[in-house]
Amino acid sequence: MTSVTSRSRKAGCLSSLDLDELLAGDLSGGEREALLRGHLETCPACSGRLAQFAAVEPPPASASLRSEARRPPRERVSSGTRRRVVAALGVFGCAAAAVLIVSFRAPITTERTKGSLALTIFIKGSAGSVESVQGEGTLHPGDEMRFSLTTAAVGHAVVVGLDAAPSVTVYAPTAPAAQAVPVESAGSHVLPGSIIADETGGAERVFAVLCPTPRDPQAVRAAALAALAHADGRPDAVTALGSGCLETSVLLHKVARPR
Amino acid sequence: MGESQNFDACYDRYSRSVYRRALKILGDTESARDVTQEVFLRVVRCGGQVPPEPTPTSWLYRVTTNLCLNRLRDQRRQKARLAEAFDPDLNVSANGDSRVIVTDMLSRIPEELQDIAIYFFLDELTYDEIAPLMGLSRRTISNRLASFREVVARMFPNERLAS
Repeated sequence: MTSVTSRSRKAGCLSSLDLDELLAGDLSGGEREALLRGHLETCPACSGRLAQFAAVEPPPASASLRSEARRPPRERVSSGTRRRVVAALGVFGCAAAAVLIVSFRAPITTERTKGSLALTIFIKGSAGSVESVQGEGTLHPGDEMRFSLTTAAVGHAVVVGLDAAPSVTVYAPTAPAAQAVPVESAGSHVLPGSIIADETGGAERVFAVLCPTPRDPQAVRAAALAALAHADGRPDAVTALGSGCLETSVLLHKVARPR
Repeated sequence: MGESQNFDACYDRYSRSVYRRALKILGDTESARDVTQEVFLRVVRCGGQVPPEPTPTSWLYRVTTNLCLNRLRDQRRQKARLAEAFDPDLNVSANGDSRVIVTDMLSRIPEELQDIAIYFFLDELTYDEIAPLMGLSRRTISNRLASFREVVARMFPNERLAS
């Protein structure tokens, strides 16, 4: 019989994670660092491993990686033709607009809500049909989205999309550097602007955030980035942004359009 | 400090551990280089900073592990690699290259057990160290490792996993 792997680490010895954290300076002089360094002084095996780890020569950052790091954050998530903001209703056309108006007036009974905020996404497909999505739905590259909030509270709204790239894009307000969208009365409100879905496949979670005072959309985006990072880049695993405001979300599954 | 300088500092600080880890899991320098670039591309796209919880290095461990597993899953599709992995002439001693054996096994076991097997067998982390890293309870870690052992025992009846 063969032993597939033998655990050579002795009790009390440092793990590879311990050693990497020490080398990176993650522990910043705390009690744990003192404990680990105390062990290193008495353990030739661990100090030898630390020396081996320190001797590793990493590859330099590639030119494309450096180039990406130099780009302003807004360009990173919206470069090229990934997403285009389209003037409200102008592209939808009259027939679609009529469908939307009917939809907005219809009572909404199945929306996913948290507190007193609900998000509905209206999706216009390439054939011109419009469907409303609450909770979870399907999206195709090239589809056009508009966002409707139903709320019992007034406030200031921001909508962000978290995708599987992973990246986060501010969907509302649509203009760069604009303030959060004011919601001045209870009821349903269609937010201005629309978004064209890009080619990024997989799950995308769209969050609506409603705060009592204007919140910088970039702060909401930063919270979404942190939440996405915490979920290992999986939008479907993000359940909240921790903004301290009313939040709700819709999960979209982006798939290629059937031929 | 500008964003580019921030990125340079971040890369200088953490690329060594990311690359070393990818090399340990994947076993070839070219793939490890690619994974290192992918990991830091994620850092850039997540705002240019490594999330600090529980520590930046532990976040990078998770992301690196996941990207390496993705790569191994792609390799699984290559019949040539499978043939090599299960070469009956492969000589494995009790102190053999655990990386080769564990990663070969990873290509055959359920995905939900793969990352935990890496942390336990390759990194030699304890249950108590794996739990905060993966955000799971100690009991879940224990259960998944038991499942891993069962799968390995079924698929590789002549092999024995160290406990």
